[in-house]
Amino acid sequence: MTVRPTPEQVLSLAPDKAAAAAALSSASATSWSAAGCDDTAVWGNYIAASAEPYMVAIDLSDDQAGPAYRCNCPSRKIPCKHALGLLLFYANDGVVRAQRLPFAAEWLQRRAARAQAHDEQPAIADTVASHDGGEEGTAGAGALGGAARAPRVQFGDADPGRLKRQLERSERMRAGLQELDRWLADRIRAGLAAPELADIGTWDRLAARLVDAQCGALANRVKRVATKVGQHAQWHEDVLEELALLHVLAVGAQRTSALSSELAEGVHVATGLTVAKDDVLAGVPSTARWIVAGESRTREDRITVQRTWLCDAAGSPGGRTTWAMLLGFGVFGAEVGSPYPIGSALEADLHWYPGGIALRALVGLQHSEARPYAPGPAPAPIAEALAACGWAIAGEPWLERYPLCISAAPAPLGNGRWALTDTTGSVPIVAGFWRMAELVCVSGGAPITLVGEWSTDGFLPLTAWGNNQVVVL
Amino acid sequence: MTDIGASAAAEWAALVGTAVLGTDRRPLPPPAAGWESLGRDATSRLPDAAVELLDRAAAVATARRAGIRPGPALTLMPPAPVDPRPVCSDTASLLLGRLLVGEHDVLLPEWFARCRSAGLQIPPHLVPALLLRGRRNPTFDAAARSVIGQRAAWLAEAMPELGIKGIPTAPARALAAPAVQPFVPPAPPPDSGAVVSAIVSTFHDQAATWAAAPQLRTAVAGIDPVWLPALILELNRASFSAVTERARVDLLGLARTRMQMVEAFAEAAPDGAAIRPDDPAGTRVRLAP
Repeated sequence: MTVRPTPEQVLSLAPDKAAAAAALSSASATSWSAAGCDDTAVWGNYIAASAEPYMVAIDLSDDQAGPAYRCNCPSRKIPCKHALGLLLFYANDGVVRAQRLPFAAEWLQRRAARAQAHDEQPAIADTVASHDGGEEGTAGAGALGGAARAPRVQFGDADPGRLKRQLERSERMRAGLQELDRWLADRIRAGLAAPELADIGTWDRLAARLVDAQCGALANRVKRVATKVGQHAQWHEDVLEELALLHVLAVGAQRTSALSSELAEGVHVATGLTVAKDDVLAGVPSTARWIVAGESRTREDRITVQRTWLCDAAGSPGGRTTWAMLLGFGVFGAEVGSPYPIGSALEADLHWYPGGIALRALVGLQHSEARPYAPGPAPAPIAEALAACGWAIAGEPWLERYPLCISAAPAPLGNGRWALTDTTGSVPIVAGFWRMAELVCVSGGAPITLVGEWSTDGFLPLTAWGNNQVVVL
Repeated sequence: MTDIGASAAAEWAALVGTAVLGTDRRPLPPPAAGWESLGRDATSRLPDAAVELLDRAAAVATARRAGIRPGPALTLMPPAPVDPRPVCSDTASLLLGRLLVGEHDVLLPEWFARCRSAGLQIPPHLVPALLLRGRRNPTFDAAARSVIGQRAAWLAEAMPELGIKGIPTAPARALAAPAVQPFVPPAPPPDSGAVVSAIVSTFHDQAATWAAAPQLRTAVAGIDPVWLPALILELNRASFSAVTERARVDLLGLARTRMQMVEAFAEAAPDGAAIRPDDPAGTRVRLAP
């Protein structure tokens, strides 16, 4: 017979305030059907908004390790709000003694059997082993939020410290994301015209807190949004768009368990959850001849980020070009070396980072040296290339840039702005592109093959193929 | 479905209008037709107008970004006149790029002269840099345009924002005339070997200070190219002196760059008018003691 916990003890098990608050509201008789308990366990069906009730069971038999929970809700918090609510309901004397429900009886039996097996062999990490069922965990697993669904957690991992670090990190990230979402709502309440939005300190403080929460990618994004304030007459639209996308990421990252695995991984990458290189290299590679199509650099908070775009020389069967992006980083001020000469081609295995729109990759095994490749990439009509870009953005709306390979001629738009045009349409070139004269002169007014990055500001040309010459713009 | 674009614009305008003033001051209008269910979070039970605005804005923002459409096809500008001359080699073009950013730019006149005599074309991506540089330097402009050809006038017309004139920049006024040097390579001295000996002797005398470097550079740019290997050899041999080291490294770089340039154009036009001296190559320099 275990001692019945007090409500305070139950609430101390909550992974976060939100779960505790939710548990308080669900610890009433109206939320539960067939709730029952005996000496060592509590169980019940939680009446959820969805059609099927959640089947919750709590094992109280182990006094040292604390209670163990089982709930088939999609939340990755352990304990989830339903388990906490049931325990709170039990602590408040609301649960009556009853026969074990079938699912609870089966689960408790399995646990008892495993506990016996554990006694015979030295336990490595109970928390990890108990993840085998996919929907259960012990209190020892500690607190974790939705972001704890780290894509590369290997079940049965021999390094319990790694799992612990990942859980700690995801807990920090989750708190940071909640704060970000609160901040966003506050800005919308006060209005975009509020003077604090024009103060760069407002944004910097948020970015600093996101860095503390280990959401580095989001922090950089916030800083980029800050530069858009007051940029032109319609800056409110740009900033609202960016704030809405930050909201999407903040909400999505807290609910990755409800998303498809590819989308969840995309959200993880966008929020700043890093993926170990070894894990990427362990994935299945794509082997092809890759053309080094272009290179762009941006400065992000004291470091230089260099993107090297590779594209498949053969082209995939559907006619779509496969793109890959190699990222390089350098301390600001120091030059980031180009991994391969632009315009060359190499045969290599590329390993993709996780995510729905797989762009970022690592070069694994290289089958040939990078050699000059005269034909260059195969261009697509502007309408088709932009459509591919649109599909990618529909998949991951927070994408900031997407590569295009087009065959187009420059044409003036007036007022110093230029566009690239072919028979299917035109795309504007970003304002302030400083190599425009070179581009015009290389083209000679005729269409040339161009590789560049599309962003909301327009097209940024990176490389031109003209007169059998590769020109880096 | 055809109205979704229009209703997206209406929805977006309403959301921006509320967001600018803030939901505390302005109530959130109901969604436009076609946007009722989008962006509404079914699980959220909080009646927070700010969160609802963000949800709805996210839906419209995604549609706006993903629904990117090309602009109308534009009319092409008149094509550049066809230049029948072959483009100079990659080595020569890389070299010109280096000269243009100020590295050993004393060699620029010779580069132009060799390119012109070999009948080659400047790679188009370097043309704007040359023309922009010529805006305030009439003699440079005339020399550059003689190699660029008709593309200069075409570019001036195609991109008026560059501020390049269609015709070469007018000669400088009479007042400034004495200062203007014609943009031609320095004339080769009658006895290049003697010049090389003199240059090397300035290092022995420790007279080749950084202050004397401009004259030495002009001398190196003017000598017969067959003497360049000998000059490089002797400069490499010169004993170290803190006084002359900076000038030595600079002259060594200049001599090497000039040799590269001579080779680059010799490859392109082996029968061309490259300066072919009568002296056999590898003549040993007689040094002053």
